[in-house]
Amino acid sequence: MKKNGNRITTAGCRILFIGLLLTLSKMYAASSDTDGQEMNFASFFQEGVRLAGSGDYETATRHLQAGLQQDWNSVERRRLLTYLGSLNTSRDPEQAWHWLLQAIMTPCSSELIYLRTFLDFGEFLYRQDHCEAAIGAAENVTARKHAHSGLLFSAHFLIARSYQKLELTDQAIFHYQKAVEAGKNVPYKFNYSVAEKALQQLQPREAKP
Amino acid sequence: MTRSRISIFLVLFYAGCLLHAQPLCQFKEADIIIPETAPGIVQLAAEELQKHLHQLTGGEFPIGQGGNHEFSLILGNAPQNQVLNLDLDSLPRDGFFILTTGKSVHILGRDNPSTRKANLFYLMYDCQDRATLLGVYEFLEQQGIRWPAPGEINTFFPNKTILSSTIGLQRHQPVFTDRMGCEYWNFMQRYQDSTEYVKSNEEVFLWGLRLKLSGRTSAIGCHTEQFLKLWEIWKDHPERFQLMKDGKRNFNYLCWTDPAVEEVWFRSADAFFSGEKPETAGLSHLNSWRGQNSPREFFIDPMDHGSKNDGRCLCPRCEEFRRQHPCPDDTELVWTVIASVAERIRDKHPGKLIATLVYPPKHHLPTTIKLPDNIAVRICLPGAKTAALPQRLKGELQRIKEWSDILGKDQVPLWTYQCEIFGRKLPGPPEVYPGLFASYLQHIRPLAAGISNEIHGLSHTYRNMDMYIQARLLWNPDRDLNTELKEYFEAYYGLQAGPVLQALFQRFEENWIRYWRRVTPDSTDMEKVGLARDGQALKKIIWSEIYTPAEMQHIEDTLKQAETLCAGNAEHLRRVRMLRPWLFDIMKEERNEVMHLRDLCPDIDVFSRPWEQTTAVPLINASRLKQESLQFGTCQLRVDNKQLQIRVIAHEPTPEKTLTDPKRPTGDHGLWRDNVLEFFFFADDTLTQLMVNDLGAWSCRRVSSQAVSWEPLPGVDVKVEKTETGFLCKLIVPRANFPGETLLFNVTRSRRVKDSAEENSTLSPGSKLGNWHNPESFARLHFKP
Repeated sequence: MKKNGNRITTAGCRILFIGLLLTLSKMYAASSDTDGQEMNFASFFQEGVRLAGSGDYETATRHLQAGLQQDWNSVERRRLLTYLGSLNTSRDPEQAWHWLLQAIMTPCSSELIYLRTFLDFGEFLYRQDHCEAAIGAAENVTARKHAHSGLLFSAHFLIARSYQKLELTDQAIFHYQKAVEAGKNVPYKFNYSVAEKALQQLQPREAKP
Repeated sequence: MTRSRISIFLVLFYAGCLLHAQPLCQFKEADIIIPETAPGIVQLAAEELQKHLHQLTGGEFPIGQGGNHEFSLILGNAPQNQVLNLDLDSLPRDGFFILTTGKSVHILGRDNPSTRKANLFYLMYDCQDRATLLGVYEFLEQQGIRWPAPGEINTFFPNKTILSSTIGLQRHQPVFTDRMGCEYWNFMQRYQDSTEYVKSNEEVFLWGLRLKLSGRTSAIGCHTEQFLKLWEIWKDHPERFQLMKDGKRNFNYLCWTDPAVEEVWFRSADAFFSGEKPETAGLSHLNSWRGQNSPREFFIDPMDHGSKNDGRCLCPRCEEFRRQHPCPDDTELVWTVIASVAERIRDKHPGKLIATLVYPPKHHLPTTIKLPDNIAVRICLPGAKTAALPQRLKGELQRIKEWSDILGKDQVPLWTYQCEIFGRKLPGPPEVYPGLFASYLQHIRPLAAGISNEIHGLSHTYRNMDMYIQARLLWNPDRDLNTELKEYFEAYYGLQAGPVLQALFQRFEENWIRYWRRVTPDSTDMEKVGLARDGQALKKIIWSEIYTPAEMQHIEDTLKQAETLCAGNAEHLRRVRMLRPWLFDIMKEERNEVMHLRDLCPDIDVFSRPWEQTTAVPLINASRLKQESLQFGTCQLRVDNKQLQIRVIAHEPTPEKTLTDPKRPTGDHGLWRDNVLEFFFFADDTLTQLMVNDLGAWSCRRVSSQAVSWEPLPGVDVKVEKTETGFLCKLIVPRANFPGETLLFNVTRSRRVKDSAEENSTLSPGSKLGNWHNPESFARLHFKP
């Protein structure tokens, strides 16, 4: 039964990871300005996201990697490095790790991008089975009460999954609950059902008499 | 003839009274006399007077035509005031007379004659003639009554029962015409602590009136370009919008040299002044003239620009215009349109004005365009905080003077900003500066008509004191600031806690000045804003350098002291206690958002001393999950001969069980998998990670935003020696690699031996697992001689 549950969780995580990449791209796109230089970066970045969305990770990576030679501002560069890292977490972990480290070293005036890096850093650690470290990275986001609710959702959800992987169920439930709470606070239409489902799995309803 | 004789007699009588001024008129009860059909404003003035005086003295103050008491308070255009023949037209907006005789006090100014019940929003914002009401508030102030915060519960009544007024004539008028309040209309919605003060916005309007704020005067508005929504009707005319660097058109900004742009502004202004709807101007997609706040003025103002797009059109025509009219921004270009529209409406709509802001992208005084006489401007400037920076203040005053010389002081109102919190750029630290504000007012006094100060806060409690003091000083900047502050704190928090809190707020102001000077270059070039752009950097500066843990503790201690001091007075205690949830707790929370790691990171002084005199800092558990004890480890640091020397002593009872790969060569990238020590250095935006295993192999990775490289630090020397209890790692790093006086540093240990769970330890407590590569979690080394 437990094994079965783990299988469901693993499959769920895979779906989630793909979903996360797509959500990420939407969040990045949503945070783009409408002005000139930003428009250039946005269109360049969007092209990479589109390629990744079509499943052609290699071309997407090549495209985005070429962008590292461009003279973007530090926020854009951090965004690019972070996305490259998250995109390549499975395909080329060492390179992904370096991009994420570079992202952390890139000064950033945008809180959204700044925190996003820690979240993707945590996601990388989670996927490398460094669950405790993943929690630590995600806590950089949850420590900020005023962080964007979408980020808080992702952070609590990552922490919850990490605790679940570590078989610390109580903590996992707590953070799934926090994730659902944060998901409800997102000011636009936001799908947090994955956290609700995980919660239901860990907290089965009491059998009716 | 007879009337003029009476007038002369009265004037002589009052002059005589003034020469021998003494508080002759004293009373406890009086009739409040108003006209039989009193204007709504005068009725409200009478009710305010009655309510306050009754609460002060306990006496009766019936409102009517008099006859109940020996003394009387006569308001507005009551017949008894009309015969005084005082020249109300000689008074500026909001000016009034208070005349005291042996048995009566007359309060009068120009009042809106409408007999409808006074609408407080209208009175606060738009009513030009409401002077009797302000006169009543002045009289109440003279009795010692104060309104240090919004809400009836916060009114201060002095301990007296007899009213007194100096016999003679007083003429009152504000020094600054423009004294607009900020966020009164949306107070309940905007501030979570609003219900601690009031039950409705009406009470807040009343506060603003009691503080004698001016309401809307001239050139109140902004970025009306956006409100025209021309992108909805000019879809087929992209050439009428901004051409950006990349050759694309941006529909958020107009091309101001396009003839259609001037035409649409002209048609809009014409229709607006003619009382027509936007449809008449060809703007059928608009339901109303949004952004136009005064029937006397039509606002033409470009949309706010972004940090990377200044909104300027780069089409050949605009560029050619700029070549012919050189200017640091688009002042000349936009003013060409504004001036032309103003010229065109002048004859058709005499007395009407075209209004705009002096704000980017037209922040300068136009020099190639003749300014028409039917314009109104408001100059947008940083404001009072500039008084902390002499050169910037000089630049700011020069800009005001340029306009003042042309339009006249009375036509130059300012829009200033006390809102570093805006967009959560710098939330938490109190942006409090009554001293700077008082100083700034003295500087602008000969140059400007006043200030609309945009003062925001995370709660109203943050800004209450500043708002109160600012209103008092805008009415009369000659008021002594120290007296005002003392009065405020004692009236609001009581005689015991007041002085303690006054000192605390004084410290807030000093802290703000330190911070502001730290992040803002003092230059007359106002375009240079330095660090003031990057909120992340600003937050770190203020929370690490100004509001340090010690400073936060000081605030905590002060609040405790104030709470103890006013424990005997429930109302004072309630007000003091409000400073916790609505100010200090918010500060703590916001600080924690930025400093939760840094507060955990130690500061370590590194001296040039023998090892025996060097502190051995223990490595502590880096796991948040495993609480069991670790194998002991310590780190020592010293400088010698321009070298940073580090020793880590690692206790290891089972060295033979090490999981280190014995074949791992120095320079191997996978060395982190071994039984390993990792040294982290962060300087110049570059992380240096030096990994050393228990067998002495090591590798070094350097990470910056631009690159990752595997190369040893120049001159570094690494040695590992076995000891009786484990191993000793000696590391020597030439200081030339990190020449600064401080260095972010950490050392971590991952103990990996057979038959034992992995143990992770760290020198810096902030650097738990997951943050080992985050320089914000490192210790700070301070190199000492």
